Amino acid sequence: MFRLLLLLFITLSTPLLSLEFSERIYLTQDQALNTVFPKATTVKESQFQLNTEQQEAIETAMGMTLKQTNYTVHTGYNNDTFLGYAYVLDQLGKYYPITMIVHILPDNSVGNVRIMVYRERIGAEVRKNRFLKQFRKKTLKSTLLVDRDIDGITGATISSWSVATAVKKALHLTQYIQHEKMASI
Amino acid sequence: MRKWHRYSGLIAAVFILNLSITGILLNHPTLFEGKHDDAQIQHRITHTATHPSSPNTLWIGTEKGLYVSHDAGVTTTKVMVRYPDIPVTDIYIDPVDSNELYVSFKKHLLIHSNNAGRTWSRIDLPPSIERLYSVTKDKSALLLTSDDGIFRLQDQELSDVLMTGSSAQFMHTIRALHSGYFFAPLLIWLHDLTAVILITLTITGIVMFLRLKRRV
Repeated sequence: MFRLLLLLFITLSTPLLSLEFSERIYLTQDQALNTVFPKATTVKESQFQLNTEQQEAIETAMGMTLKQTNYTVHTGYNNDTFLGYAYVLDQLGKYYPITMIVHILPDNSVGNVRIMVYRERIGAEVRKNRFLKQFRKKTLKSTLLVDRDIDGITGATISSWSVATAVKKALHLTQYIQHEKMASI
Repeated sequence: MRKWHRYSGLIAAVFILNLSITGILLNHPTLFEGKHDDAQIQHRITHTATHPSSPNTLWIGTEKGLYVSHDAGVTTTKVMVRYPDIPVTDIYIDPVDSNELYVSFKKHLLIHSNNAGRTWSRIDLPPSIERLYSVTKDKSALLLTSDDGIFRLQDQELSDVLMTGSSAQFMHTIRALHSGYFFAPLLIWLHDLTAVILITLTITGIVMFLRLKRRV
């Protein structure tokens, strides 16, 4: 009985430690790229920078200020077949950034989304497939707002929004890349 | 004595049922939400702020996000900020530059717009500030009210201005314990389970009481 009470106390006290930094690495960049491009024979990496006009266009569309204008995009190929784009993005969670990979398919819809690094004590449930699979096949037309077309995770409200925001950002960046005819990079 | 005990128990049972059932329902507010309507405010209004030079422009904070009206409240539009729909606690419009807006939310969230709400950015807050109650500006610094007192935030550097007494923090902890926020939301299911157990015990207790009474 005492052990049971002790276990219950420890379980209940866990949220008190929630402010602590608690970095959990689920995937390295190579592992993440292998996950989103399992059949790739080549993965190319390139950097691009949004100019002021492009930045403002994305900001207006998303209704939020972009703190970053330099991005890295990975493009996957199976021989000559284009497999899509992948972005490794940091999006601020409740206290710390969440690092994730967002895969955009050649038809401009979302493929795989995977959490690579989660840094907060609570809320890591956003890495679960039951949450992340909701993003599949979403496009730029999707609102990608929690409680609208995405169901958030109880106890990880802000993290759920952060993942949805990063996915929306990846879709906008892809639109930018295609407008810039950078698909060949 | 036994009779008194039984009848007191019956009265208490009604309260336990009330508390348990309403507790479960309050834990799951989304069950009562209708369809999202971005043009109509469906939640309790928590704060309003009028534009200093355009009185028809009204910013409205609700239990679930931010709305704006450009016709003095006749019609409203949901401000689609990519941040959680959590209660707005304060809206501050800079009287010098009315394009500068700050909106504080209950759970460690403060957003800022420098273009009259076209785009928003989240201001990084130190983890020590858990809940925000108000935001205002003192020259270039922000003054933030939280559970622990008033803080000055300048260039991401936080300094305390006025700390609340230990009794206020103690009462906050007591309130958090009572409401379940101390443990929740991770353990909401435990609260629900306990409530279901209490409801079961109470109903079976009432049935046993009535059967016993009938026999007597």
